[in-house]
Amino acid sequence: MSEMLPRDGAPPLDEYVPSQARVLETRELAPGIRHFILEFVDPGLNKAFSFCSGQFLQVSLLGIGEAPISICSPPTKSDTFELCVREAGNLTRALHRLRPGDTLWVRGPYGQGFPLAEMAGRDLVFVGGGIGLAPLRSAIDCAVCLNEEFGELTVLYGARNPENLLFTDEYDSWRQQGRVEVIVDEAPPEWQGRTGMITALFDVVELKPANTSVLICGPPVMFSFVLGRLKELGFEDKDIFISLERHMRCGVGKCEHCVVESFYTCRQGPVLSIDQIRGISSALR
Amino acid sequence: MNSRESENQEIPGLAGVQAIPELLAWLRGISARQRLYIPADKGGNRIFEEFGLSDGPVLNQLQERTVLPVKKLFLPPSEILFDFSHEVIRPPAEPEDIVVFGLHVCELSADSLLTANMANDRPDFPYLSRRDRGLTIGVTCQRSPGCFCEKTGHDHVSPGSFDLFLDLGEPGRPRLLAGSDAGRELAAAAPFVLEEAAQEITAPPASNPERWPLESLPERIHDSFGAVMWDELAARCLGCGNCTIVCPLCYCFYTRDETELDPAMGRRLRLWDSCQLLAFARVAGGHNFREARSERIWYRFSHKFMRTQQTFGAPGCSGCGACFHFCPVGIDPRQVIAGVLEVTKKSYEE
Ligand SMILES: Cc1cc2nc3c(=O)[nH]c(=O)nc-3n(C[C@H](O)[C@H](O)[C@H](O)COP(=O)(O)OP(=O)(O)OC[C@H]3O[C@@H](n4cnc5c(N)ncnc54)[C@H](O)[C@@H]3O)c2cc1C
Ligand code: SF4
Ligand code: SF4
Ligand code: FES
Repeated sequence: MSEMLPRDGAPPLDEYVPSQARVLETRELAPGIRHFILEFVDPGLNKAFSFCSGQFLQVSLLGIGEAPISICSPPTKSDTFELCVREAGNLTRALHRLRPGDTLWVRGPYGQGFPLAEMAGRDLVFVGGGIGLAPLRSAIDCAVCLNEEFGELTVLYGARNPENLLFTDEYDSWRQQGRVEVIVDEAPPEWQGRTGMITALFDVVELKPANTSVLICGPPVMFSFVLGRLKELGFEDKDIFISLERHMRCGVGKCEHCVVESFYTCRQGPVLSIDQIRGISSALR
Repeated sequence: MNSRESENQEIPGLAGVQAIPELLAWLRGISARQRLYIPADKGGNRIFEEFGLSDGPVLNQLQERTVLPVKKLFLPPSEILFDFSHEVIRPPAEPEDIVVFGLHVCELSADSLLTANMANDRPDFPYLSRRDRGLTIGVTCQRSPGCFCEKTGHDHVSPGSFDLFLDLGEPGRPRLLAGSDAGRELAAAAPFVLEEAAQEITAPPASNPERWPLESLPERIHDSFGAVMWDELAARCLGCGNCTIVCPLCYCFYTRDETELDPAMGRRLRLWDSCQLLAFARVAGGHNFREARSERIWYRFSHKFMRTQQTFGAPGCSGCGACFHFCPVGIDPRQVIAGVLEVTKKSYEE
């Protein structure tokens, strides 16, 4: 028998078997995007569950399937956890039908989140595009909650149009700790805010590159523009953290779907610093 | 008993020992106690099959490769991760104890590496629980056509990679070597004298001039990204995924739920996947991170010679040659690596 396996002692926990969680509240945040507040059915799990902002869960419905979804609530909130789901296919469509009292299944948390502990004492800039605000919201709320630990907070957020902006009712509370600037690609005439590319927001805020960490999550098309602008402003690669999306199945570095050259995005990511992925031509596409 | 068995008169290395009937009797004894898999003949192909199920074992042609490697026994093409019924999850039945006879040296090596990969970081329970209940009996390799383990370093048995090993190295003097306690027990009724696997057999051979420069391959593969050679391969490759299916060190999978007529009842399956298929890296919204076939081929080789080499110090290619043998257009890793060595020659050999 293989010598690599433990002969005695407890068998390893089966990674692929999910745990049941119950929907406490759900609401539509934007067309096709739903927010869920959940708790584990097993009260022991609610206590034991801990994670970092930027980590994700493998969320499933039995008989339909499984998909990676970021946790969008802060780790500082201990009794429940939250997800924000965009309707994109079979599973996500079925998730949208869930109502309070219904259950779904999760396993995780997986991956490496944003290294907030290492950012203590620094200013933080969050750059989000579309549903990319979901994992950032976890980090923003965490930073807001631990505000003494960090310098100035800046949230730069872009969406397709005003009705697609997520968590709009929370910007005021974020503003108490910092700045929130929003922009949309296109808007009806009555829109009072900005329209244009997300990079335009870098012109309306003043940043101190030397003492600032940047946290980015959004569609791949956004990355090159934002990174180009950050470079112009003098940010260093090691201070920029980006959450990469990839096709994922296992979440634990076994199925090979999420690989970017030498990185397993599910295990070593999804959050990686630009420093780590420099030289990987296919990382930011 | 069937007619085939009597035809199995000669095994190179066993010739003159008249050991075939005893060998078969021993194997039959094992199969009476637990499931025994052994290379069998199926319409002209070799496959690992349960002893006594089909046409019969093909002991006289142990050198020929089976269509699917032993991975199919420990990571089945389709397996149940769990069953569910009305929101209750049930784990699948415990795996059975099995014995597999007739693994080539490169196969033992690949099996160890696959197991190391599955045990690494977050252990893969379904695989490991099955593997943990498997015993392997290796056999001296007589070399399948088109194999090249001398190039990959998977050309010797290492301690711990087998439970028993039938060493046919010296003609007419077969030796049965023990690699584990379980193997020693299995050998109780064997027709050969049992010896402890000594250094001489498990020691890596002196450096082989044929060996690829494995240390530098990760960087060379990295540097070859985008080279014309990958486009040329892509122009020939059919993207069928055969190469990954027959590979002992390919293990990509996907998961799928399957339901009964009552959709509250069913099971979650995991199935073999292939990085050579178009949809492998496609995400919601239709964006495909590896749309180009040339990139997919590069990824296959980067997995084997970059990531696996970096993580485990050995390439994720045993050199069995199965992918080449079963590829409809004959894409040969030896030519691919030769190509990589060629396009990166300048920077490494100055
Ligand atoms: C780390 C990470 C975090 C994510 N966080 C969120 C989030 O917070 N909110 C959110 O709404 N979405 C998130 N996503 C995207 C989400 O996983 C996909 O929208 C989801 O997989 C679609 O599943 P489906 O079953 O509804 O679609 P399907 O019907 O399965 O397929 C639709 C498309 O998605 C692709 N796909 C299938 N399975 C996966 C998979 N496992 N991963 C990626 N693509 C897949 C298919 O190839 C197909 O093109 C995240 C993705 C990743 C990788
Ligand atoms: S078997 Fe050959 S043709 Fe098929 S995907 Fe592999 S390399 Fe391409
Ligand atoms: S890549 Fe080809 S030669 Fe190498 S182990 Fe896999 S099937 Fe065998
Ligand atoms: S999701 Fe399976 S390896 Fe990353």
